[in-house]
Amino acid sequence: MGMSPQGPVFYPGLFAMIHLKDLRLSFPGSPGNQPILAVDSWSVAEGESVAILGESGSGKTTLLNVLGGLRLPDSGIVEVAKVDLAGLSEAGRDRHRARNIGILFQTHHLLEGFSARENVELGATFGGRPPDRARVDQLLSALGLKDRLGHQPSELSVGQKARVALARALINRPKVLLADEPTGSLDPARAAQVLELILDTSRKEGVTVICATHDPSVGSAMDRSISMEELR
Amino acid sequence: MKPAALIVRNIRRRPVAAALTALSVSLGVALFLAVGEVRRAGEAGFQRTAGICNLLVGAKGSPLELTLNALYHMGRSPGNVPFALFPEIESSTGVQWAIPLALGDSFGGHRVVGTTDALFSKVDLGPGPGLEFLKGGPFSFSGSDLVAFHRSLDDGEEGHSDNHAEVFTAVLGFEAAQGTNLVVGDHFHPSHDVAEGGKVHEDAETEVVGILAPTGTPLDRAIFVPAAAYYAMEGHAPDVAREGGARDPRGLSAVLVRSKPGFYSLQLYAAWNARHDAQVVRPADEIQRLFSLVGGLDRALWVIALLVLVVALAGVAVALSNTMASRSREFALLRALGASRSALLGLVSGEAAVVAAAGALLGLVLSGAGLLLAAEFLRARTGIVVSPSFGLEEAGLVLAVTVVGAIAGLIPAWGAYRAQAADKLGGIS
Repeated sequence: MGMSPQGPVFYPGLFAMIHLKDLRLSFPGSPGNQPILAVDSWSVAEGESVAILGESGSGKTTLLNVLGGLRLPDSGIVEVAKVDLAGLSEAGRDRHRARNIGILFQTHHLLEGFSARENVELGATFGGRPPDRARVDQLLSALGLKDRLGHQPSELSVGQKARVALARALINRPKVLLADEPTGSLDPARAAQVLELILDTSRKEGVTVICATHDPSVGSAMDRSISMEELR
Repeated sequence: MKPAALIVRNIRRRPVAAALTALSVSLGVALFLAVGEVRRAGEAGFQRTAGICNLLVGAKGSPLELTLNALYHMGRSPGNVPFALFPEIESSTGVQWAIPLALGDSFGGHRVVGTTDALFSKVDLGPGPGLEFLKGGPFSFSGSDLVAFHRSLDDGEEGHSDNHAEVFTAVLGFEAAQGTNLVVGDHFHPSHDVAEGGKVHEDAETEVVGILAPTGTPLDRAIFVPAAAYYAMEGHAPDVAREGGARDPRGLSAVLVRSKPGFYSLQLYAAWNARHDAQVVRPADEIQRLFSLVGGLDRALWVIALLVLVVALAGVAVALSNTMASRSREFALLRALGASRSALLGLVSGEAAVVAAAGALLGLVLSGAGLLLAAEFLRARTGIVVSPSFGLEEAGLVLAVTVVGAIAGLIPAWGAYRAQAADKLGGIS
């Protein structure tokens, strides 16, 4: 909140971990040149967990890419961790992402040839901080993978891979965790287990969670949920 | 994980492809180094031989032909100089030593050289004057003995020595001993002419009295006999009709001369070249000229070796390019983890640099091992003494190959640099 000659001005980004304003993004050749993303105003508070619900092709992943600084909108403000991404250079967005944003993928994207521990260490390679092996071991142990540190991804179960990917996303102590269908490839029982781990660990780490999903049950586990239609 | 560790781990994920690429670079580097070493050793060997004497006196004609025949035992003699020149040279002011050479005979493919024992005591191939003997020792026949011997010829004697056993002795160069299987105490009969099939000197049973240690020069391939033995053999007898000319059987093929330090070399060179019956050449200059003549071939070899190396380095880029499509998601993931485009460029280029550096180091080892294995063959067949070395030049080559490898790696890295991470990760929701 601030004052101006015209009266009080509200700066939502000052209090929110994520703030979108007048966001527009369209792809070349999209039908009727309709924007795939059109968000007038939307904020997420620090430490909040929010599910973004929508069918395939509704723009959930595109929104996460925008929030992660991997794609710039055509117009509008995208503040993540109190920084307007559009105001940063690409290298600046990369640095910001490395230090403040963790990303969790549906298919985990663990690199073969790297052990579970090395896959997690990979997440700390570009953060500009010295390697913290104790942090890696502590995260993996907390996620029940103490005896799987040296295992290759091919030697891990799907649930174990999901936990390694979560540890990698959290290794840099990010302020924001972006999860794209984190339970999409899991059976219901294992999905509930992984979701609980994500939320539990994120709460302990004080991380704001944005989770894109088509599964309403995921939404009910979060602090709140919003559909892509509501966002438009 | 540090970026350097990430580079190494990425290479280890594709061990066979990386090893084959490094091997191709190593072969290029090894060939490049081997060609360079053989070229250097060849020139050094020629220059070492040229350093036996600083002046060479022989018949007028091609200075290079005279040098190659007298010092390298190649080709045919351009002719003889009158014997009287030898004592004149020997007694000239500024001459440290003079060694006569009488060429024209051979045994078992090795040239028989009539000379004096000064060859064994005066020639300095380092570390001091004199040649080392492996077995036995030198024959005893000085320049004074040769002059006395000639005087006796002038007095009308037939040319056969009174002391046959002493005159018909021989010292074998290291390779000549190996090639003929002769040992000290053995006897042999030289043949007339340097080509095979020459008439055997049945009257000249010659005893081996010494074998020289290897010198890395054509001396290793020659058989040395007292010049008196040469003149005493059938066919080398005095011929009044041919005396004084280039076919004078009592003349000398050449005289090796070492001048005293100072300006004597220039003085002697000018004085003797003014004569009508002989020429004096500087062997080192002639060899320099020879290398400038064959420099084109030399450079062609070098260019071929360089091209092989360039192709091998291009192979690094090709091998990496082949993996780029399958690694697009890996690069997208790294971008999602915060890697900048330039970081990806550095990672891929770094992989190429590491593979190229490993190949260069392996190439150093291969060239060293190859040269060591081929050293004996090269020495025996060509007289070139190769000695692999690892110094600043080799370190510079490894560095250059690494840098060029890194630059070659920029080609596939450019694809990773330009790719949109969001596009590659798009299919995950």
